[in-house]
Amino acid sequence: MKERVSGRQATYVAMGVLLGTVFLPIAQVLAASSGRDAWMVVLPGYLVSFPFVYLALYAYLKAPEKDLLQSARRLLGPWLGYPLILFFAAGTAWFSGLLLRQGGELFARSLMQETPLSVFLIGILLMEVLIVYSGLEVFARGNEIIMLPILLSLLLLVLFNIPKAELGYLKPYLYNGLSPLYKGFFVTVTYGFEYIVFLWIFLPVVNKPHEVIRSSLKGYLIVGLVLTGLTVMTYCVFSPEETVRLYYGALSLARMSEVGNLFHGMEAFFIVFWLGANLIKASAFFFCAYHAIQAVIPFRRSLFSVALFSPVLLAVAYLPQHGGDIVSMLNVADRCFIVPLGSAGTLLLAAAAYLRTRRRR
Amino acid sequence: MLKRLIRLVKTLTVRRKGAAIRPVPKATVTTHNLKGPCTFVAVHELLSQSFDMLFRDFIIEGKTAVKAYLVCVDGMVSKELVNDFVLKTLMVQSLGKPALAKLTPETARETVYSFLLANNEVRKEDSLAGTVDSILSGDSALFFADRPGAIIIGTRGWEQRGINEPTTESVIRGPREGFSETLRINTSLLRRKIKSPDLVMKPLKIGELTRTDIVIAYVSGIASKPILQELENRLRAIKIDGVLESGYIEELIEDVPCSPFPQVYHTERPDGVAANLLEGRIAVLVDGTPIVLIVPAQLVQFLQMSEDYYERSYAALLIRLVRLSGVAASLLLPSLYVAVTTFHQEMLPTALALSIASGREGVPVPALVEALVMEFTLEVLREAGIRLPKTVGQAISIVGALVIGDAAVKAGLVSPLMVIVVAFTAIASFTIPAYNLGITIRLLRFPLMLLAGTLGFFGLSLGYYLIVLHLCCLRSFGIPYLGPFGPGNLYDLLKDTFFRAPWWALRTRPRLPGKKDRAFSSSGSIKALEDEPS
Repeated sequence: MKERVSGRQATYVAMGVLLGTVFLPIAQVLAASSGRDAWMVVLPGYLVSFPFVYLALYAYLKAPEKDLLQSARRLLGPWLGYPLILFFAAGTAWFSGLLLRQGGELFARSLMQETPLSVFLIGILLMEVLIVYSGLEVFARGNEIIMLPILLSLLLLVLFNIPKAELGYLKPYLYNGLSPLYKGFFVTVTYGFEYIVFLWIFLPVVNKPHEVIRSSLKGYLIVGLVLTGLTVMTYCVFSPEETVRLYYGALSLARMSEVGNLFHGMEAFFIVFWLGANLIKASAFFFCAYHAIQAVIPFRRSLFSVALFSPVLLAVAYLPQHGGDIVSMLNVADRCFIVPLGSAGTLLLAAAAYLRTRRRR
Repeated sequence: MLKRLIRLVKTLTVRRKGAAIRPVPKATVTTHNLKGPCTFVAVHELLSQSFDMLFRDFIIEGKTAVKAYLVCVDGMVSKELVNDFVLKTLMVQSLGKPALAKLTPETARETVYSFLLANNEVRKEDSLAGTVDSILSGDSALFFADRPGAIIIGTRGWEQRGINEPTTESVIRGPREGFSETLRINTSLLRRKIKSPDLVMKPLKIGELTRTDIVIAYVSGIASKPILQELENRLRAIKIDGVLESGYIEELIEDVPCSPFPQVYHTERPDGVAANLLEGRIAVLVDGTPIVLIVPAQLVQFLQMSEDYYERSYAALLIRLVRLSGVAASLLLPSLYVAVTTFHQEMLPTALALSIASGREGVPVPALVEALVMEFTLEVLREAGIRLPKTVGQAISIVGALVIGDAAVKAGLVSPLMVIVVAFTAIASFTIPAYNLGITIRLLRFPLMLLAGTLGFFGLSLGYYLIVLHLCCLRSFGIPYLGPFGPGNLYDLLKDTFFRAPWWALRTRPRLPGKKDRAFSSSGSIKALEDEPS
């Protein structure tokens, strides 16, 4: 049975992939690059990649029965197509492996320091294997169920910390002018392209592909606003200078949350939901890598084949020496793989599709 | 060895399509594969071994004396009907009637059928299989001399339970009637609720030996045709010796047999079935059981009760939220307790943490073992309470809950908080309206406790996401099990899930594929109601 995803589900998928675990490091990454006004660049930075949704859709609609990876071989020819697919497979597998490690680190560094990291990595990987085996339709349905609690958890995180917030940390606005914002802007731009890369394999399952435009826009806006709010709250609670020194801003906020005198240190509660966010993003890129392999060597999806591929992610997850390296390694992966694929790759495919159509005419 | 293991796993997990569950040996005589002429001699040969069969021969005086035989099963027929409306009519009241003047063995069947039997349920039957089937179902068969063919007279009548209030689905507001074990009564209860020619009831027989009567009920024009077709296909594919309860059918037609979650809804309330039929679902009534199956089923259905629709919508909202909290508490509370006390004490404020620690002081086992033992004890008590006679059952529950619990705490075997957690979990589990979902929740509680006890919140999260993933994969007759949450439908979600919109706002039925007529109450009918003089 062919997998089918509705426009509404596509919105949740867009939110899930765009948000992922970006909310964990975004505050300190932006504070380090752009200082106290960095929160202003979150939404604009995300929206930069939005036009590429059109390009991906344009390239896809020229051969709607295939995903962009399968089309790449046809549009670019084997000499350019295969290397692109292999680059895609390597980049997404690398990125997914790092996200796996990030999920494991989330528990290993904050909640259960004495439990070996491997336990968390294997547990999360097992879930990812099951998700990829279940297919994109189930993945989209799961997004619908999981995304709402994740967004609610972030909202609660903000609400719990309102009493500790000090708006004065944000003032004066734009004291150093607009120039410091450029750096932060380029950081957030990379996050948006992660979703564009995922669209390469996701478009064929969307029931009405044109709805992806609206779904994506909704996703971009909601995620942009949520992350802006969270960044503002982190700066208001810790000050931008202190935020730079935090491990994960959101995690520190969670640690400080309390419900009256009944519960302190709510991070355990929040991490349950954030693991879902990590699963969504890591699985999305696992899907990408798996589809890329399928585009080169056609085979049917089976639990065995998914499990066979999973040790690659595990191997990547073990590469960083320290948990602190993860954020920087993810940024490097973003710049080296995700942004080139999402921007130049998509542009290349759209241009090839355009030229092919023109030649036919 | 490996191949056998794989085959075993496949047998247990993949839904059988047309394969026999327990193949009937070829030598076995079953009524539906009987061949040969339908004569009294053949029927007598087949059925005379049983002492409960009644063979009554008599003479009908016509143009010539025609020997007739009445065959029926003692205890399954109404003696009044047989004596007064069959035997008396043919032997006494028919004497002297003009129709008898032409009666010969050749014309006997036609004459008796047309002129003499004053019964509304009479038909001619020419096949041996059909005749034997009818006799064994409680009808009477009438044969004439050695002529082939019989007249089947509807004389069913046996001792049966009356219409009582269902004990498992009692309500404060709503009808007090429940289905019984007799199929005909159940269909009539349903017909009384939906007096429309669109209510269709299709008969079917399942069970090579039991030949259990089954009725597929649906509202034509509302029910989805593809689902109906799929249901019929699945039912016809069943090859089994016997069906003694609808549970047999439920397991054989569900999409994922290995899932712990029920994929077929069941109820013994006629109003519940009628409501589901009006929503476009299909009911399967099985003879011999008051439990009626309903397909397709979605998780949210198992958390709803017919009473939700009889009370005002605000009350329904409160009740549903309570139920939902009950489900969450029943599933997660013991695991949360284990995870927090074992791994995440930092979540608790110092005073509470100290209080819990002092309660656990002297308890010789870890929180996980404590929780597992207490939950197991609770399950034992619950099972004993159900199986024992009612009065003794209550006593056992009190002894178990108060005496053993109190004694265990005083002896330092369990902590007081654990007793509170287990007791609250037990109470919360009773808020789940569907018994089968309740069992599933109880079942899942144990692996979640194990995960929480070994991996803390990480294990709990894994368990939670595994359950969500499994639920996302589930379908009931092609309908996603988590609908209208995933795939989401905002209108259905707001209309009848956690909330129950007021009746004046419930204008459309839930979305099921293949269903055209979605209007619950068309604007036309509402207008008609408004136009009525007050």
